[in-house]
Amino acid sequence: MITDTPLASSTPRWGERLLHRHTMAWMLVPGSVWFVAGLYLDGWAHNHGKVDNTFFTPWHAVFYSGYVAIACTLIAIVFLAQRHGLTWQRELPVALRHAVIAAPIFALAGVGDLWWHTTFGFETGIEPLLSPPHLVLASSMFVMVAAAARLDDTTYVGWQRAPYIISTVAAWAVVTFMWQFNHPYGIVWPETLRGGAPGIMTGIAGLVANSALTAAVAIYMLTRNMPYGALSAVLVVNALGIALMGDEYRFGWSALCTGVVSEILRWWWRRTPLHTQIRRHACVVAVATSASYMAVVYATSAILWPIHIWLGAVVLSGIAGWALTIIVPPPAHE
Amino acid sequence: MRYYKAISFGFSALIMLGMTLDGWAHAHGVVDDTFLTPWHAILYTGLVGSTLWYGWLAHQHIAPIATHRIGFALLPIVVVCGAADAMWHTIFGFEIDIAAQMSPPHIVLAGLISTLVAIPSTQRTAHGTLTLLGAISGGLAATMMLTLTQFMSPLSSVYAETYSGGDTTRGIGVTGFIIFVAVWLIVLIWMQQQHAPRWAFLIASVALGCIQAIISDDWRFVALLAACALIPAVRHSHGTDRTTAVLWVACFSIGYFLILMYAGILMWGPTMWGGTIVMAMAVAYGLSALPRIALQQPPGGS
Repeated sequence: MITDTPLASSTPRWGERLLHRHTMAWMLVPGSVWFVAGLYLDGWAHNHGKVDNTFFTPWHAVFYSGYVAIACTLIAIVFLAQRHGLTWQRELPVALRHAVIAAPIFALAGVGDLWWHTTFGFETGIEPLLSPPHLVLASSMFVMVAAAARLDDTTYVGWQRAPYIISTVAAWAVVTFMWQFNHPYGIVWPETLRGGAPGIMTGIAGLVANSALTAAVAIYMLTRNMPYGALSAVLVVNALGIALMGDEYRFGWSALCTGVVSEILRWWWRRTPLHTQIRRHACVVAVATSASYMAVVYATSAILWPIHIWLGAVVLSGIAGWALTIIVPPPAHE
Repeated sequence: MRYYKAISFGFSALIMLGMTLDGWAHAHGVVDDTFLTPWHAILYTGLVGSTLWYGWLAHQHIAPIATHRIGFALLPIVVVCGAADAMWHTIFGFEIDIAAQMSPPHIVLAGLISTLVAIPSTQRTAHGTLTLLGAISGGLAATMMLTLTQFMSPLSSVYAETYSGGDTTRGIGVTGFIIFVAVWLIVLIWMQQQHAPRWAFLIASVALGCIQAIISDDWRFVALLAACALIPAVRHSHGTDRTTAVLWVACFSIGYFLILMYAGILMWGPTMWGGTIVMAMAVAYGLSALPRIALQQPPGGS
């Protein structure tokens, strides 16, 4: 079993040191960042007309080489484990086992995607973000890039948490990338009336869902006792990544505002029981996500929705964030 | 007091009956500009009756006293919110169409009424597990919020049958479906965690289906909800069971699109409906993992 200490008892050799939980997390980070950067680069190219009908684009090269990088890292870890008498199926941490299984699934889903295109044709509009093979690709990618975050150990403090925070950013980036079909930074529905009533409904649903997703990330980071500033960093990097798709960089301010408000309140409530903190934190993050979004739209353009709707969407976001906490049980010591 | 738990649930059911009939009347044009309608009479009788009932229970020191006090305290809070709603209308005017469902005072009022409906969900058996009526009242509270946002509910607003609107309509269709599945899954996981009786989720699902069907006149999905709720009943578990959660979502999603294929007009292609099913299952997996992930504090082991 991999533990928090190196395998060898006295002077571990370099291979044994690499099998340290924390070292493995660091090993996975470059591949994860590379892989996700490739995904966003490809998304940016698609959104800016920088692609043609060929598969061989520089963006695909970055993306798939990122896959090769993380897959090679996983193979190296399995190889090292076997060399030190460990069975990866049983003795590697569960996060790594899942990542090792996800790597070939990603490759198989790529083949499945080819079959899907041949059978059902190429996707149009929002379909590429919902195509089943693409979702399997994204799910397996999520498992691989989230592996480092799942190796997290709450006993580490400060900069030692860096690989886990970076991995959280990468994993959440995969989720929000696939959620672009109704992400509030895509089409900014509150500043347009072109979609009529369906446009308003789409905007509300997208905003509430995005706020709930953000609240889920905040719950995760709070319960993992991530250092102050980590949530803001995660939110801002994610916002700028999604902003890259539609050149909506103004929402970086919205994410920063959400992060700062949430972290100040987290510090303010630090002495309350964890379960109470989670409930308040989820609600605050969801409300702050929606409210700061509306504030940015108001400051940079105009909110064309009636006050009943835009303020209602903010209130509904808070309820959605709180609703998530219903299924988070209180810690045993509380 | 022998039947106080059943009476508490009866008031919750009365509120839901009033809300359903009021929703039906609004959807079918059986309302005029007066406040004094039979539907409002039922709704407000339930509302006032339940708060007074909880006040009496608190006065009699019947447990859980704190919850009963909250129930009683909701009466003045609802009255204040009602006054705030009147003020809101004076300042910002009356809401039209979707604005009526999204108006902040209306959402807050719905949230407070949901809380009132959910009060029996604090009832426990002698073994400390959730009672059947308590579990159903929790489901009814979620139903109230889903009914408030029925413009995105896949049971009453079937966007997959609409071709017009292009990506906008498809966007709300998929998002609404995912939100609906997530909310009802929270109810399922909550019941599992609280050790609810075997048939509680089935009864709550049928109630949800019937309430949405009465309002929208679309009864196609009631049987599907009931059939899918048999999965948690058969795989009865205490604590979050990820397999049950994913199975429930998979069966509901596949069944939903099959119904549209054979008892409606499915305007979405395989990429859209297939992707919605896969995404819903991914959400189910993630949501059912949340309780475990959130409070796992490993000391360094795997």
